[in-house]
This record gives sequence, C-alpha cells and structure tokens, in this order.
Amino acid sequence: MNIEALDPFKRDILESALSVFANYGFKGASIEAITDKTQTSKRMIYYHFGSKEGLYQAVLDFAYSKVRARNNKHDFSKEDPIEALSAFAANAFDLFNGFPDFVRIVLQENLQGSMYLQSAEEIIQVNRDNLALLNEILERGKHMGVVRQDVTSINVYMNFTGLCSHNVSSRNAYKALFGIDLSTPENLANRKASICDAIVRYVKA
Amino acid sequence: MPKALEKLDCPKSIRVNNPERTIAEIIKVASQEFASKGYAGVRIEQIAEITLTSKRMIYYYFGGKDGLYQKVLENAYKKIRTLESNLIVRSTRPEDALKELVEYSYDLLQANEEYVQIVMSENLQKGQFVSQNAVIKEMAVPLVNIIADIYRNGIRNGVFKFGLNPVEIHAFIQAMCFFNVSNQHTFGAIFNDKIAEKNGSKVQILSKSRVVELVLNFVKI
Repeated sequence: MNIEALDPFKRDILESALSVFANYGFKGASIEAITDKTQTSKRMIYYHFGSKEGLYQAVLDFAYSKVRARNNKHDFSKEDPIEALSAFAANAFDLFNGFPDFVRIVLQENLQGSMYLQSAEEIIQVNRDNLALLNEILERGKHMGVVRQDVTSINVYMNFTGLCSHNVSSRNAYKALFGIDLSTPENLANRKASICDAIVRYVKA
Repeated sequence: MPKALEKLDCPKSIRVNNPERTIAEIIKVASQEFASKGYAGVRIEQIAEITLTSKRMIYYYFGGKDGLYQKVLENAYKKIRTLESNLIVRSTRPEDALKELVEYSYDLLQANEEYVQIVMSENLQKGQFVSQNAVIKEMAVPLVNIIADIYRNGIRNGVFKFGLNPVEIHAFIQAMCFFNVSNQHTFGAIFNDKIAEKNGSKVQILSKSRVVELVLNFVKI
C-alpha cells in the first residue's frame, strides 16, 4: 500500500479502524466504534472495503506500510557495520515506541492465531525485505571480521524485535506490578541504550 | 430408582452442594475463554453453557463479567508465581546461576501458553484490570528476588557490570521468553522457512540457548 498516495478520506477511516482493532481485536471490534471516530458511515465503510474482514486486512496492510515508509528513510549501507546494527535496533525501538498501535495489532493478530497474515503476501514481503537489509549489515560485519560467523540475521532480528515490542506492550504491567513507568523520557533513553548494547554484544566477534 | 435419588445423581445438584468445585471449574473454563477470545470477545452465557451452570450463578459467585475476569487474572498470576517460586538454583557461579534462571523462565512460559495469552490480552487493554487488582499487585515476584541475589553475587565476583537493576534484568529475560510464545504465529507466518527450530508442534522463534546467550552478554562485564 502506498501511504502517500492514499485518499485522505480512506486514510482517515484506516487510522480510526487501526486504533479500534488494536484495542479489541478483529472479533471484539465493532464497525459502529469505528464510524463513531470518523465522519463516515457504516455504508461508506462497506462501500470502500467490502466487509469487516476487508477493512481489517486493509488496516493490517496500512500498519505494515507505515512501518516500511519509516524504515526506507534510513540508509545503513555506508556506515560501519556495528554502528549500522546499533542504528537499526535504535530505529526499531523508536518506531515501536512511537507506534504502539502497530505493536498492539500484531499481538492481536497473534492471539487470533495469525489467520490474516498468512495470506498477506505484501506484508510478508515488507518483513523479508527488512530482514534482508539486516542481513547485508551482518554479512558486511562478518566479512570485516567484526561480527562472529555463527550469527544469523533471523536471530538478531527477533532479539531486538522482541525487546522493543515488549517494552511497549508490557508497559502497563510494569507500572502496576513494579511501580515503574517505562515511558518516561529517561527510562526510554536508558532502555534504548541497553537494547542496542545487548544486540551489539551479541553479534560481536 | 426413586425420583428423589435420581435427582441427587444429576450433576447440577452436586454442583449446588459443592460450590468450591463449581467455582474452580468456572474459573478454569473462563481462563480458556478469556485467553482465546480476550475480554471483549467473552460471553458469560457461553461459560455457563460449558460449565453446565447459569448466567445467574456466575453473577452470584463473581458479581459479573469484570469480577470473573479479575478472578481469572488472579488465578493465572498465582499459578505462575507459585511455579516461579519452585525454582531452586543449583549453580554457585553467577553466570551459571543466571543461565539456569533464564532456562527455567523460558520453559515456564513455553509450557504456560494460556498465561501468556491472558497477559497479552490484559496488556492490550492497557492493564486496566491488573492495575485495580490489589491481590495481584501484592504478590511477590519470586524471579526478581532470585535475580537480585544472583546479580549481587556477580557484582561481588567481578563478572557482572555495575548499574543494572534486577527489575530491568527481569524485563529483559521476560521480553525474550514471552515474545517466543506471544509472537510465534506472526513470525511463523512471515518467516516459516527460516525458523528451523521446532519443538513438536510448537514453533520456537527464539531458541533457549540463544536467549541465554543474549541475556548473559547483556549482564556480563
């Protein structure tokens, strides 16, 4: 999905629907809750997206496309591989932190057993392109002898995706259980530094 | 058989006479329902149907959907905290002790997918129920205390770096072990050919040894 070329009217529906689906999941979300947040009607939603299912698929596509639009702005290819890797992880941290609805809708999709993602070719490709980008950085590092040979890109990818996603999704639990607010600027900065440090230590030769 | 005896044999009358068992069974079924459907998706009528009780009885015991959900959360946390407290770390070397703890945490969450799903759902509704649940908030978190001991030893032996907080180390370990279970479906769908590590029918998106490695690298000097 090309975010820039999106009709503002449709984009408005997708933004509202994303926040409702992220909160309630596919089954728990109601079309009424979505129309309440926009200037549109139920009829217009069905006209543009066909069905609740069609809207949900468009929302997932929209969420992943927003992530891709942000990823594309970085050029990691010229940096030192270790610095590039650290920047890659930091970028994921900022991305997830600034886009909690993305983290949340992915979790919803997991709770649903990922029934929609399996057929979403374009989304799968976004992730695979991102992994390929990381792989290039790691291969460059291996070639230069700064990254150990047995590191795989999929493992590194999951390491920082897991750490960055958990920092967003478990925020409320840490506040309730430990009285720690993970979202203060200081805690966010510390956490981001720790994650980048851990990822770099993990890959270093 | 006389009518009166026949009536005594029917499950409903046993339930009436054994409220503790009925309550436990309602919580068990409700846990499965809340784990798979989330708070919004659960219908009390359905839980009543599966447990052969009634909506009225569930309201009588739990006060309503919110009360039932709070009990489900409490029960899930209590079970996990009890299992956490069963961990006996045998190694005396801090690095080995931490390795044991990470392995234990990993296996614990992998074996308790229902707990992971309940926590995921609760996190998705911004923890609004946990934050109001005094019982859960007062439960000690055994793993954090064990981590604090191990970390102290590691600092004393000069093998762990200064300035870390046991809660932070705990969050780090949980992030990995939790993610391995919570995001298995989307990762499975996107990278199915790249995830070679499978344990029976379960996809392990992060292998245990790699989680250990990541955590040790994070804590060691």
